[in-house]
Parts: sequence; C-alpha cells; structure tokens
Amino acid sequence: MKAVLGILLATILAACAVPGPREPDRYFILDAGITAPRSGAPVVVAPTTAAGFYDTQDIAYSRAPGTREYYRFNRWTERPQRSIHAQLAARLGGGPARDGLRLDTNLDEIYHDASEQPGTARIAITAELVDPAGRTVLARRTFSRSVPAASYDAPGAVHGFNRALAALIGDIEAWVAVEARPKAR
Amino acid sequence: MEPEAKYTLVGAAALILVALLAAALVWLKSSGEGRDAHRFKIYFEKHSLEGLEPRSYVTMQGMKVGSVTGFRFSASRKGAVEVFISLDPGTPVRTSTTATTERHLVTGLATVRLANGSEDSPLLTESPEGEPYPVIQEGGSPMQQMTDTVSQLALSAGETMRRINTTLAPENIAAFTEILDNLRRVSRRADALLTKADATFDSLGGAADEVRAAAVALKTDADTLTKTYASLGTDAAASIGEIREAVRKMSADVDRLAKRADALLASGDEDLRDTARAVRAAAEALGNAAGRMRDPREVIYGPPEGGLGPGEKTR
Repeated sequence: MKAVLGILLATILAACAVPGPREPDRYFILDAGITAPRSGAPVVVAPTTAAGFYDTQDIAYSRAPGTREYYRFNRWTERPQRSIHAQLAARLGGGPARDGLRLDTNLDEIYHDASEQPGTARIAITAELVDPAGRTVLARRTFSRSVPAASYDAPGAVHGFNRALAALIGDIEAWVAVEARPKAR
Repeated sequence: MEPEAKYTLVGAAALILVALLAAALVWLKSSGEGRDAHRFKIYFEKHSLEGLEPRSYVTMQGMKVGSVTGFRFSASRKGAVEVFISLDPGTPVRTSTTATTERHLVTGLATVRLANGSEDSPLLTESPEGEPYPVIQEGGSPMQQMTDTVSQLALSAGETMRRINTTLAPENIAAFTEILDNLRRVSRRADALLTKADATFDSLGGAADEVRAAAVALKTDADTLTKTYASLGTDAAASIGEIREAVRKMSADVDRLAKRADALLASGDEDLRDTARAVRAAAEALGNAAGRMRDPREVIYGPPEGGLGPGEKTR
C-alpha cells in the first residue's frame, strides 16, 4: 500500500514539474521595402557577410551596454545578412555588371538596444567598393543607423529595424553613386 | 518433511538455470562472430581510424557483414595500422575488394566499408606468407571517395546530374580534371580536404563539387539529427548530452560550408552560383536545425529564469 502511495505521489510531483504552454514562436521578415533598382550604373553586390554573433536567425537585443542576448520566441525568417544582400542587390544590382565594380558588405551589428523603453533598433554595415580587375579596394566606409523601436518588444524592434535598413541602404546607395562615378560607363 | 521439499525445488531450479546459461553460451559462440566467421586483415595507411573501435561495423554495399575484432600498430609496415575483421560466412570478399573507413558526422563512429572492384575476380581465401589471415587491400584516399560520391550523385539524382554535366561542359572539363588531379595528389586526409579547398579556391569547379558532396552528407546528418531531436521527449536524459555534443561538432562544418558557398556566390559563373545557392540553403537549413538544438533542455523545461527577451513571457 505504501509503495502504491509513493508511486502516486511521485507521479503527481512529476506532472507538476512539466511546464505549461508558452508563448508561440514568431518569425519576422527583415524588409526595407525596396521596390525598384536605382538609375545609376549597376554594381555586382557580393553576398553580405556577418559578424559571428549575428550570423543566425535569432534576433539579438541588449539590456546593458557591452552585452548581447537573443530573443527566445522571436526569430528572423532567414539570417539577416541574406535579407540585406537581397535588398542591396535589388537596389544596386539591377543588371549585368561583369566589368564593373563589386560591392562587398559585412553586417557588423543588428540588435535591439533595450537598455531603455521602448529601445532602439541599431544596424551597422561596413561596405567596400572593390575593383575586381585591379584587385583594389576603391573605398571603404562603415554605415550605421538607429531608429526608435515602436514598442518594447520584438515586433516593435523589427519595425525599427526595417526603417533603419531602408535608411541605411539609401546611405550606401548615395555613397556608391559618389565613389563609383569615375568608373561608371 | 516440509524443508526437504523446498531444497529439492531450489536445487532443480539452479540446475535448470545453469543448463540454460551453458546453452546460451554455446549458441552465442556458434553464431555471429563465432567459429564460422571468416577473419581478414587490413593494413590502413592512408585513412584515419578515428572513431574506430572493437566491434565497429564492417559493411558491404550498405549492409552490415561483420565487425572489427581488433587493431594494432603494425610492426612490419611503418605508419600502418593492422585492423582485424570478422565477416559473416558467404560475404563475397574478392581479390579486388578494397577497404576504406567512413566516419559518421554526428556520432563520430567509424565503420569499415568493403567494396568489390570487380565481381569477376576470384574470392580471397589465401593468406599471404607470414600472415595469419587473408589481407584485404586498403582503398583510395578520402579525396577519391569524394570524387566517387560526385559520380554516384550524377547517377542517382537527375537534377544533380544536370548540374554536374553543365559544370563538365567541354570548355570546363580540362580545368576540372586538372583540379581534381591536383586535389588527389595533395589531399591525404579528410581533415586536410577542407583546408585545401579553401586554399585553391580560385579553382571554382573542383570546389563546387566538393562543397556539393559535403552538402549531401550534411543533409543526411541533418535528417538524423531532426529524428533524434523528435524523440527527445521520450528519451530526454540519454539524448540531451549526445545531441549537444553532436551540434557542437557539426557547427564548425556548417560554418566552413557556408563560407565557401558564399565565396562561390560571388563568382561570375551563373551555373556555379546556382549550385552554390542550393548548397547555401542546405547549409543554412542544417545550421537552423543546429540552432534549434542549441539547448534541447529548454524545449522541455523552458528558458532559464530571466532569460526572456523584452516583451516575452511564458503563459
């Protein structure tokens, strides 16, 4: 009888230990809203690389300076550098540029600065304009943008990321237009 | 009267148990790796034996045909390791049979793979002078296995075949052959393969095939991981440690694969870029699977206290 009671008690305790339902996973698209290529001479846009911590589908945030963490239930639909590359290529590629210049980009940072509410969406990208024929780097610059998050959560941060990326691609576009001018045909 | 009857019963039961034990020992001895098994010896010089253990599987055409019974450093051949295997009776080991090692990416366990070069060659039954058992020849290097894999892919997958055929168009075939020859000469071990591919990355054709072959292996292992992950709930205690270790080992391979696919994407060859995009997607799928398994304990017990992001909450 004691053994039966013991097993029953253990079963009840085990059932209590099982966690209940949690917030479902949500996936967000990093979308700057690029619709058409620019009018200037196209450049070859190489795949965007990313710093190791951001080379993931997890959305990063920071609650204190110098620290980074990942959201647990909120993720990108694909790694952010892939989205950034696709949108850079859509805006700056636009056609064959086999003899033209190449744009190399690296995603240095993309995180929700959540040290204060509602926080800020921060993106930093380093761009290099390369002449493949001469194997020389013609220009190099780091671009960064910060946009207030719409709310103190992942959806609000993603809204900020999208706006920040749109502005950042505009910055890169303007920079490429200036730097590529001597090589444009 | 009563005590004597019990002693009889206990004695009879003990005798029956001893008899059953003896019968089981005889049966085990006479089956599997017992006296009917055929023993062979292999000298491994080119292949790494990492992950090979006594009782590791020996396979032929995908089937388990025996097991490793032991290995030791060779006293007669410098740098070689003598591996002893025991094969099921009826396994068609021929003079053209070669042995290679295969290592599972996830578990790291190695198997010895036997392959017959020609089905017309005579059966291997004779032991060379001074050898206790017949000796099976060591097969080609891992690089050759890689090229074999590419060939098998071409035969088995229509889409892959189309891509390889395009890559092997007349204008590319000379360069492709030269690249493979170079890789064959230089590559001796599987570990060196990745380094070599990076170092000669301007040879895009060879690198593309190497990456593609690696992707096929990774896809298989991703499936295995996914299945293991799915069974986590029923076997949590045993699986958590294994999966975390497997993911840790795999992440480096995924990173290398993704980096090389990225470099291929930057090339001007549209076909290679097309192939690389597919490979990149496979690598990312695997990376995502690995990411989800970063800490399987969280799947069962939830994130740690204070580990939730802004606005996140457990219900």
